[in-house]
Amino acid sequence: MPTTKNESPLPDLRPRLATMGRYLRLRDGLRLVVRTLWLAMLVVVLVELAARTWPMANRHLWALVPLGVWLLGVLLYTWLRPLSLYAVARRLDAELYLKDRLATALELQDSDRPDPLAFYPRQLADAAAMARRLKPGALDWQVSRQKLGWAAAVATVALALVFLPNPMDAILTHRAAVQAAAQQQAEAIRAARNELESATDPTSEERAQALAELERLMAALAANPGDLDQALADLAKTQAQLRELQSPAATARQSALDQLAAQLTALSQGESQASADTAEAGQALQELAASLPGLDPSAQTDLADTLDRLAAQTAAADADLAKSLVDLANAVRNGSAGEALQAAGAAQGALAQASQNADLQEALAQAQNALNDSRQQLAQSGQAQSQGQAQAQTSGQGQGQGQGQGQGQNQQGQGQGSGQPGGGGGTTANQLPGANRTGRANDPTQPNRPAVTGQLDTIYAPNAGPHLNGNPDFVAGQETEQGQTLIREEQSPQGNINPSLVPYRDVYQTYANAAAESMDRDHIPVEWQDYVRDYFSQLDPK
Amino acid sequence: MTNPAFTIENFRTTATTIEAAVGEVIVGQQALVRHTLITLLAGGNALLEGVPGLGKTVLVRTLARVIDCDFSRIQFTPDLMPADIVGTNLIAEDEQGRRVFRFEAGPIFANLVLADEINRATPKTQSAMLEAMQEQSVTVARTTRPIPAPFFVLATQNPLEMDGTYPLPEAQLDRFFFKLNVPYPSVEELVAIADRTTGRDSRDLKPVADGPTIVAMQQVARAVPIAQHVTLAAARLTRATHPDDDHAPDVVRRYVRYGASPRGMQAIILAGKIIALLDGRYNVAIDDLQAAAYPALRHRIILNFEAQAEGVTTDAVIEAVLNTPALAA
Repeated sequence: MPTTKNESPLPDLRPRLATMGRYLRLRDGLRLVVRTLWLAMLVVVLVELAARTWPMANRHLWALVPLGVWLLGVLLYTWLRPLSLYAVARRLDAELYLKDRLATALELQDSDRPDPLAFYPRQLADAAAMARRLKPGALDWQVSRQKLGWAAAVATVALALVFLPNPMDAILTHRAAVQAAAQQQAEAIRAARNELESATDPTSEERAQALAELERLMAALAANPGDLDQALADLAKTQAQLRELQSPAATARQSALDQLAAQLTALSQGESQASADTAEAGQALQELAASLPGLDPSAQTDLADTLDRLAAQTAAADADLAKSLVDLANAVRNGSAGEALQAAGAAQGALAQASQNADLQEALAQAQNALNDSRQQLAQSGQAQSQGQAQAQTSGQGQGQGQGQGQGQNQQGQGQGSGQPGGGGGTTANQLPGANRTGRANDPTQPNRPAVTGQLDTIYAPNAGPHLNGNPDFVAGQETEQGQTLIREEQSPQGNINPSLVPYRDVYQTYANAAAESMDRDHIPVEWQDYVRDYFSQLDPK
Repeated sequence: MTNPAFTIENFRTTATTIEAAVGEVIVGQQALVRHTLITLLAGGNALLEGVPGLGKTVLVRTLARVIDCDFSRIQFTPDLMPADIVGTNLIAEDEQGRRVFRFEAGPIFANLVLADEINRATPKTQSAMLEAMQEQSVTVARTTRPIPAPFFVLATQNPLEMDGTYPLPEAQLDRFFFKLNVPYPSVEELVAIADRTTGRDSRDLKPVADGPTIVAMQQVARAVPIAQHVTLAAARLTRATHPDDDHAPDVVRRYVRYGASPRGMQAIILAGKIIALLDGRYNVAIDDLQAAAYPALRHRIILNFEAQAEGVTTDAVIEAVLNTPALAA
């Protein structure tokens, strides 16, 4: 006898359908994997190809992203796709040729239509018996071998691209090295800035400008993404700004000031001094002015003459100080103690001001040196990577890159520029920032000539004396009737250059500044600027 | 149920017994026998199309003998009148000698009627026959007389000799449950026919069912449950035979002038129920509908002139419809 409707076999049907539904989901997911795997792998291939065209950090990670998205999509499709028991029954009926038994049974379960002939229980029993015989293995688990083959082919290409050397990796390594060097140099510049801040007069406007420039440079280097050109440009810009704050005659002024201080101190104490600071010199002037009433006229005249001579020596370095010394000399010559004290105070103030200026200039020079060091460090960081790249990429591509025995920084400049111009097989390294900079003094315009430099060699330099820059020129003249020395102040004619031979370390900065200024004004082609910078880096006597 | 002793489980047994009994006489033609039986159990009427001599009359006669029912054969001719089919009132004397009208029933009053070459009668006569088929009753002189159940008409028409015939209009064709093509026997079947009909042996057929059993089976068949999606598939299938339907295949759009009527869908579903029972199932499957689609729809699809000119048959159109993927959704 068939079961009645009250003895419905459906409780047995639904769990079985749920189980088969899970297998259906799994099978559908498997088929989706086979259908779409080639597409995911194709995206991986495209990412890897893009990473070979443009530098892409973490390229393998980026290549895994589409694969992960694809996998997530497959999982979501497999387990979250709506698949009701009715849909499962329909699909099982169609796939396993069950003649719509299961779907009809599910529908009849909730049917309230009259069934006078008791067809429903019979149908439900028939469907339940069929469901009990269902096995997951009866489902069609076959997948398209053609699509699987496509996926395998694309996956092979993707794996090949993953494991084959990528030329962009060298660029990325180079960028990372430059970035690390930029960070390091930012810290070094911070130290230089702190030193400048602590060693100079806080009221100086130039000091504030210099600090601001250094701050800007630190921020720029810290944010540098690995662009060597940008880092060098930032450095050059800051150097140019600092250069504007620097005085070309700072060294001469410092020397003159030291000499003046020593002589003033010796004059006051009556014994020669190897060195003395400006504070002692100022104090010596005060003592000289105070001792004026006790001096006889000849001693006053001698003292005045000495002061005049010191003023003349100082005039080239500091006109204000020279003027105050002349005033003091005149006061001494006149025997006016009050005026002498007043003039001595003025001269003491001028000395202090000159000392502060000298301190600032020294600090600026130190900052410039720090920037130069940073430039060299950055250039070397890019250079090392570029060499590695060049070696990797020029192998088997012919000769032609410059060969020579480079002399490192702080060594005697004995670089031999024996590079061969031209050469077959251009390299990527040639186009990279910092490329072909191997620490040699290679002159790009004369590649076959050895460049010889010497730290202490004498070198032609324009006269940095009082004629330059329109500085006032003080020339000792005849004495007046009152015994005063006539001082004629005139402007030196421009272009009247007095040639001389000086140690090149004294003029190096001038030439380097001129070169930097030319580069800033684009007087030097961009592709040669690195050579120029390297040239001066090699010549740097520090 | 007319026969309370009949059970659902007996349906398949009885039907296959009838089928086997008919098969003892009819050589081959299994599909024809199966579809004829389905039409009988569905309470419908069948139109057989085939050349003469293929055993159509034998089929009906054998079937009538197997199910122990009355059988009559009407040979349709152009001069056949409606009264010759349904019967007429005759003047007769009653027991007291008075003259009264007495109804003389025509050959339509039988359980199984063979309307041979129905397309040779005039439309008026055809319509009288078709009215009886549809209503299962006859009205003569304002008196309606029911035809005893089961009532099964098997009409035939010869596709070759069409001169001087009156082809059945579409509306009347629609009243046939199935249109069955009678194929020509194969060589082996011809040999078997020769052996059975030219020798001395004669088959002694015994009834395996009766009229009430057939009526009970008809009621059982209508009670078979059908799922909603199966009914929907039948509706889509029928709708797809119309050239203006969204899911109609190109063949339908190009060659069909008018698609199947709702009666076609009813025939498909009812036949599907019987096929399911014959298959031992208690539910209708979409496969059952597809199996019934050819005989149920081939006379309900009206082709256009282009199809006739190109020799496209309705079976080809039905095949195209069945292969439409949207119908299985």
